[in-house]
Amino acid sequence: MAIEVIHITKHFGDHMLFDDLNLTFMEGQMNCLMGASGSGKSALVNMLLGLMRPDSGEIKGLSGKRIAAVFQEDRLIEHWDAVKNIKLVCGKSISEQRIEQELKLVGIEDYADKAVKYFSGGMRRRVAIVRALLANSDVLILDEPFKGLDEALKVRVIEYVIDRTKGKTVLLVTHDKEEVSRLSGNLFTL
Amino acid sequence: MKGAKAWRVYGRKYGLKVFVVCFWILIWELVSRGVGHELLLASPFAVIKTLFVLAQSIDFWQTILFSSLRIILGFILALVLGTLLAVLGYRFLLVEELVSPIIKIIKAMPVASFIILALVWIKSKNLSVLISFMMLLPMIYSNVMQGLNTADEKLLQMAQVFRVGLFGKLFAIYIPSVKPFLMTAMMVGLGFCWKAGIAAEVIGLPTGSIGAKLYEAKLYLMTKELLAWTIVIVMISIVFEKLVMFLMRPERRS
Repeated sequence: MAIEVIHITKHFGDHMLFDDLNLTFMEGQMNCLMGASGSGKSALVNMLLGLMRPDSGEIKGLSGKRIAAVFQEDRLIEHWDAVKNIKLVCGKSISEQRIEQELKLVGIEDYADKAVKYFSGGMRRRVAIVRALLANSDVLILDEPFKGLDEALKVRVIEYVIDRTKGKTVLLVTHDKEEVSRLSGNLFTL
Repeated sequence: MKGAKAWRVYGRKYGLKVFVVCFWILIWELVSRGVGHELLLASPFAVIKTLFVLAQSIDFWQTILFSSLRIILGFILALVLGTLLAVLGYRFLLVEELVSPIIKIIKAMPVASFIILALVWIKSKNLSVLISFMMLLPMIYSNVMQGLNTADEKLLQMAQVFRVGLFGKLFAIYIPSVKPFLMTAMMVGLGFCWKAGIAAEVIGLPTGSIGAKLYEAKLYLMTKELLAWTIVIVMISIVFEKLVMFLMRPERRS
């Protein structure tokens, strides 16, 4: 079932952010959402995640679905290592060895036992991505997941995301047109 | 080389501490000589000698055990109930609304009023349990509540999205947030428990308690004994504080 954003309106004080917003994100596909700063991308993400309510309108297709997300901020448990952070959302369904293998695929080796507070911004971002992709989910919402990654690393991580999200419903928020073309997803603009 | 440097650092640190202790003992000795009357202010050496004499009797250790057990019991009860009430208050607004005024009243009430009131309700033997409990309860409740309220909202949202279970949220988000607040309450509260607990014993005079010994010493103008028991109270309070700090060390939990 597709995710439908139907007749959404949202005000922040006097500022009208959405006035009758309608979008349909395709099921089992990569959906890329672009828009200028302040266009409401993050607000829409928060609504889809159930963290913000619209003033009116509704979102269909998410009820009962398990959602995993990469947030704008990494939202990691600072004093825990990468494996423990990922295990927190995966539970017992995935072994530590599997998590370590996945972290290796995005270039995080030999750091698995270090607290993430000692990680660089790019490393933390990759941990957040692996966490979202390994969580048992039906829908993935990725809010600027490649932010802070250098070009070579970005290519590697995009390949990893494409590989791990095949057949899944993904909504990926980005500023970068090149990312959209690499991901070859459906493009939506706010 | 590293070892030698470490020894120098330790030497300087502890050497300074020894110097400070010696300095104040010297001041005490000089004041005592100036006063010139053991009944008014006994000399430190006379007090330490009295302490050694006291320590040789079984009664001395039984007295310490009597008071310590009761004060620590009050401390543990306040720790458990204060934390539980704070968690329930955080979760249910009604509990917070019901408990908050009581906590405020307990905070504002003078210890002496409590002690006298409590003497009407319970046996003097258990008075220090209730008083140390009452002293610590508001601190634990308020600090745990503050810790829960400052838990990272963004991490809680992350846990909500990923449907992290209660234990996961507890260990990842709530405990790290509450821990510094709880530690502070325990450190400060332990001292309060001792002071209030002994004050309760001095008023309630339960047989075989440190408070009763203090009162007895005061009654018969046994200044050396009075000061010796005061040193004992300070020492036990420090030992328990160090013990709590040791038990709460992060490496012990991992």
